[in-house]
Amino acid sequence: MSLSRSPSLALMGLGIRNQWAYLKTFILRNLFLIVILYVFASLWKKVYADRFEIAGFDLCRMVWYLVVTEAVIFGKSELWPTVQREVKDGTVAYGLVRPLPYPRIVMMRFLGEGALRLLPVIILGSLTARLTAGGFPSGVAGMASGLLLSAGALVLMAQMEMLVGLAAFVMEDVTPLYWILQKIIFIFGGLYFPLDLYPARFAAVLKVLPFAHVAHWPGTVTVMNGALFLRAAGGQVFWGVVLGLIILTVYRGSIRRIEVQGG
Amino acid sequence: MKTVRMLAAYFKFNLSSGMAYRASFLMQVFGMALNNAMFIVFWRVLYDHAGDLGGWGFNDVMFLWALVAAVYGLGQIFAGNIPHLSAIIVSGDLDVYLTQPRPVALNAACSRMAVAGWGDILYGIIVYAFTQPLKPGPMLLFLLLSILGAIAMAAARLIFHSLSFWLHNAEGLVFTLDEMLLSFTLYPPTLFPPPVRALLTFAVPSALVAWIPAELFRSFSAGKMLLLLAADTVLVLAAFGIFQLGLRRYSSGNRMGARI
Amino acid sequence: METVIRTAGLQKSFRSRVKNPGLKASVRTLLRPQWKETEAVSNLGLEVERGDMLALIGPNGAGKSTTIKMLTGILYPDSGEIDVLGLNPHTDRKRLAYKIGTVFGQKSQLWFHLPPADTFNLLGTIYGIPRREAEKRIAYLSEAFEITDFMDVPTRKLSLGQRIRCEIAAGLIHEPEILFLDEPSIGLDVVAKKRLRELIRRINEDSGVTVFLTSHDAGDIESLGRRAVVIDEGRTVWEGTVKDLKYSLLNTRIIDVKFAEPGPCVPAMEGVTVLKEREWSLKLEVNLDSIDTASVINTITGSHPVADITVAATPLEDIIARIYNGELKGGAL
Repeated sequence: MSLSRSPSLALMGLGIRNQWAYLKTFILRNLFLIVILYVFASLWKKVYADRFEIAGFDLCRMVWYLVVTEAVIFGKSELWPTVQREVKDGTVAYGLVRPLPYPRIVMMRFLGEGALRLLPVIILGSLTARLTAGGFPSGVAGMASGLLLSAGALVLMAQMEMLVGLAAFVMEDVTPLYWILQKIIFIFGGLYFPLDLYPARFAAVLKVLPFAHVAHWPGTVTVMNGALFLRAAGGQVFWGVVLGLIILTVYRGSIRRIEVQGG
Repeated sequence: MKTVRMLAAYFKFNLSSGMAYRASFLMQVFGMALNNAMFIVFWRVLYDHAGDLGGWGFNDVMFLWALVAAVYGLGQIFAGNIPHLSAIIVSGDLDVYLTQPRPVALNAACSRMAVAGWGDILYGIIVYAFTQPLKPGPMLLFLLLSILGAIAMAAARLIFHSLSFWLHNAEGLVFTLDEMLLSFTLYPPTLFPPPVRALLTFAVPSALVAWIPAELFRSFSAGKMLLLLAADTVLVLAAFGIFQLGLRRYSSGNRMGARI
Repeated sequence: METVIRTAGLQKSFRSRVKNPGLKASVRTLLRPQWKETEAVSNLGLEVERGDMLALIGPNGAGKSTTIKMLTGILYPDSGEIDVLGLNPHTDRKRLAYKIGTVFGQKSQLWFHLPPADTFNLLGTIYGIPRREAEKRIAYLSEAFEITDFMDVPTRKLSLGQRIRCEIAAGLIHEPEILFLDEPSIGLDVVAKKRLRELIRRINEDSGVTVFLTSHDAGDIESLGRRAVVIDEGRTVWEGTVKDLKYSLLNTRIIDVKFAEPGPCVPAMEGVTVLKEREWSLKLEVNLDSIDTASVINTITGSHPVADITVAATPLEDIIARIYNGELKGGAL
């Protein structure tokens, strides 16, 4: 009885209860993840029926690669609709009176949610892969680098979605923009398959782009047991800084426009 | 007849209002077409590294994509309100349709058009044109199968959304079923073991929407066609029946349920 | 007179999940949901004659909307009989829809981004009205409702008062015999309300459309309803004419006195209650069963110099509030 009067426990209880409502949505989304992984595992099984290796990946690695890349996409919440809405209704301008710049506030919230949701997604994904294609193909090094790079991928994703959302300053509806970003990551970022499946020259170009650092690099490094970790992490840091600067420039420029309009 | 005229009126009405925001309209149409086009790259790359998948070659999969794009696009254009039905039922906003002298399910489903559907159709036609025979026979069959598929898909989704009459927090479930129906239609059925295929024929009718039509396109047989027609009819009747049954449980009200 | 709406023993309850506060309770609800039945409408009987104007009055949650929705075929009653224009709203929903018009103040049937003219034309098609006839009807309505000027302005740019006039016009496109109005005046300012009431009265008088309206605004009833039914918690608590409601149901008058000189006390009288007493003014309630207004006024003017006197019937709002509180029972019950 005395325990339940503790203010911090009460707060925690409230937090959990607040999440309770989302639990159902959460379970269903993860159910969908399992379906997708199952479909892809079936697809790869058929592809691998008459061969052992494709571009250095065997069946087991291929499926686990997908677990890593899908984890980020399924684990994250969507940031751009919030930004789009708040750009349209002018909430962005209120951000000016807060001590932190608006983009950072929104992205921090997004990363917090993402971190919380990543774990169950990874567990469910791993179970599905284990059942369809076999055990984890790497060791501790692969696992550790996978977690680190997934976190980095989450940050890059937040930044790219922020830019999509900020486009609402000049566009009526940014939804099509997000579709395209999403599909670029799916196909040219390596979400569905490692970029090594493309012809070598083309793959080399794609691997340098920010999209590859959201999917291809975390996936490959994880299933190749940490090989090329520094290359991947360095790329993430580089793109993180570049995207951060772009966001800052775009945000400052757009906010000035609000002020000019007398908002 | 009056119902047909209503559907035609909705179509004209929504099209002209969609066109009113021309920039947004074009953006959505071409955005959607481009969006879909990305997947061609996926399949091309996959088939560069694989043989045929249980008898389904690249062109067969492309037909599946052309068909599903057309099916989905037709649904978005003519019954663009279906994705919102669950929310409409839960919040008690069917009232307007109930006070009008037309079939409620049709009236509610068809009153809106999702203009991005035009992008799907455009994409479907382009994929068809590049990968399939451009002879009148097959083209006519493609058209027919697209329409049948669209009807089957709309009926299946109507059933999913009708679940909201009984389960009040079903929006997540309905969304997942919708997505599953669509996701499975885009892959050749030969990927899956027979029990899963059975499930995808009867529970989530991906087979009715796309797989069986695609097989019919490859090798047409009148018997199979009749079977498909019969199955579609059953599905449509079941959809209207279930919706009608659900209406009895409909609690309208200015959010009466929530206010108590 | 022909009865156009008749209900008997109408019953409708809603089931809602009970959720107590607290995490433990949340878990319990998830495992074993508890349900609570709320009777929205209970044993309701109504009768409305053709050409009449009936106001259904009650506080929020009294069951007004539920009743109107059962009459229009939107909700299924749990039990009881409904007869509207000789039809059962649920088995004959479509046939009835041609004969009734419905306007919900809280739910728009106009397309938000499009001008009313577009919605009107679309409704014409939905109700299967031949094109030329629909055009004539729309022209007539837009003139009668004074909405011609903004027929081509997107609905989202209209004021609430303009919008509700368009909503009602939209409800009349197919020339219904009965017009159902659910909270038509909700959210309107005083001027717009007055205009709307005049309009509704004119529709009723000029074209003989039976009007069935719900409201929780006493002003609506005072100026609109010829007959009123007061319901609370799904039950009829009073019914009769609005005149009855105002003048005979409550035998009281309110007298406001302004004195010419700072006031003394007024002699106590049988049947007179002092509501408010100030140095320069006095407010009294007079019960006409015990004493008449004239003698009260005489007593006051006789005892002290008076500058001004006003006599008024008790405001309808107060009367209705008292009915809700169970202080009054109507003669009809």
